[in-house]
Amino acid sequence: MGRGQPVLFDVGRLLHEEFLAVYRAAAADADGWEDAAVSVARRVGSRLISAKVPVAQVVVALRSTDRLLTEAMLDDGGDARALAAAGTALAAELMSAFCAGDDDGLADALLAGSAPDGAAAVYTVALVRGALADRVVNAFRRHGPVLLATSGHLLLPVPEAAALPLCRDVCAELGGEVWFSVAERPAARVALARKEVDEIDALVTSLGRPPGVYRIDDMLFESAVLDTPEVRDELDKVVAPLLANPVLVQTVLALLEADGNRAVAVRKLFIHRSTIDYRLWQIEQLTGLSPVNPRDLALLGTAIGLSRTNALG
Amino acid sequence: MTTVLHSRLLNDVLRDILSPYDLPPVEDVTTRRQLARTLLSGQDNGSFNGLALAYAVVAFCTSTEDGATEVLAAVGDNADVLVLDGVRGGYLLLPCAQDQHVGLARALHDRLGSDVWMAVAWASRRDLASARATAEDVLRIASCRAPGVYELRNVLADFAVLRQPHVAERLARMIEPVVAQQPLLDSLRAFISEDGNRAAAARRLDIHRSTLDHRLRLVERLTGCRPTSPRALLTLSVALTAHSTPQVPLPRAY
Repeated sequence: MGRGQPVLFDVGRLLHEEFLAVYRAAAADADGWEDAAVSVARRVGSRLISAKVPVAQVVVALRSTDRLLTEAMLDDGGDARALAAAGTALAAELMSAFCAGDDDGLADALLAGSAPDGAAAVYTVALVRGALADRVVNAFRRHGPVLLATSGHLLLPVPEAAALPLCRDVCAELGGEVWFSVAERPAARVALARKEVDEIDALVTSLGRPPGVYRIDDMLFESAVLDTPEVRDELDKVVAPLLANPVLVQTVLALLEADGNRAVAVRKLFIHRSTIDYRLWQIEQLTGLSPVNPRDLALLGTAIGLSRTNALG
Repeated sequence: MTTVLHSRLLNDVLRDILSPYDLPPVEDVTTRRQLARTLLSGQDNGSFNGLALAYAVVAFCTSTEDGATEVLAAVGDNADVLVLDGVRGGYLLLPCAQDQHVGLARALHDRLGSDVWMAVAWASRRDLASARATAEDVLRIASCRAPGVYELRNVLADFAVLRQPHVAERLARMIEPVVAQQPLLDSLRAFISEDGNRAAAARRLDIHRSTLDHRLRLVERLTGCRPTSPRALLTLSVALTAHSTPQVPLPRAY
């Protein structure tokens, strides 16, 4: 809460101005105040989300606004029962809109390419693999506003530089095998961010990357290879003999995970040092790439990953 | 120089035996140069007689003008070779069967004395334009390395990045703060050249190992890529390529 985001307006005053008409209608027991309460509360809720107002501040403002408006209407002889119902309806709707965020389909609208009123200037789209959406959303909500789209993408109304540490925190809180793919775009181009996170997610999955938070920068090299047919074809040819031997594939991946440290890889594979040396020699004979050279090792890992992408595609 | 007689493609051999004399004579440099340009630009309409069905496309560059003259002299007496030459670089089209282009280029390179960089790609006649483009990009990457013969598979990672300008641009931006600080750039280059061996990189730079470690940590802080991770080192290495890959002095082929 309160991550130092500036609040550009007075929340209490906003609530007072927006809610006044609803309280008046309720006090007079006029028809249709319930519907008005729902639409007003949702609109205000979205606006508070995009202004990044912390939830605690919303709660305080709701309390004081309800007290002030209720007292004013009671003084004017309003119906106490109707006023209490109006206060409850407004508070419930506002909090539900504020927490869920996408009651108006804001997340879906943004992902579909439009930037409705109440949208933030910039969004970081996140796609999380390995944890239930509800758990992830709740974890994010403890830190600040988040929108959940029906496609399962999360929209954080902050730039990537702020979203990255946030995602890393949530990733650590969730624990276990969780992969985050994130990308930032201005509100009108959130659809592109979604495309980017889908691409990152596909690459992270098929390349068997360890759990963590990934940006396109972490996957740029792979995406360049994927988009260059000459290189894909040549890489397929280079690793074809390797792929026929699962033991050697496993050795490459273990060595890669060990950052090229043979002693670590040997322990992971439960094999003797001389065994891994022999296997690495075999790999070099088959591919012309030397797994002892870190860049060749990374290229072998990429080729193995991409061959899985091919198999999936 | 033998070129096609070891060919496994019978058609290549037959064609060269049956009609080698339809090519313009070696002395008619201008016509032959125009023919090479036509083939390399992919405008071959199949009307030329005396051409092989497939070629090794060699893009070359040299550090001196004499070097280029030497390359041309080495192929000058071969009526089957087409040349599109520039001042310090050019293209050679050598009739060639599949899988023999690298050997052919190496044999040629071995006969040269000066520093020559060669990039070789093989293609059938109708695909020569794309083979030329491949050879050019491979040569651009190779020209930052030791003189020799290079093919696509030697420079796969850098080639992929050069071919995707949006990726190259992003990587160049990522590496920029490192390039701006000479000690960091030198340390990263040495670490890459020594295949990730810190002790060797420190020796190469004549600095203490802990100084090198400190600089590599700074590289990580500036780029988000940890040099001791193989994947990150590959990313850093192709980012350097993306940041500064020179153009090579090749003649226009289109």
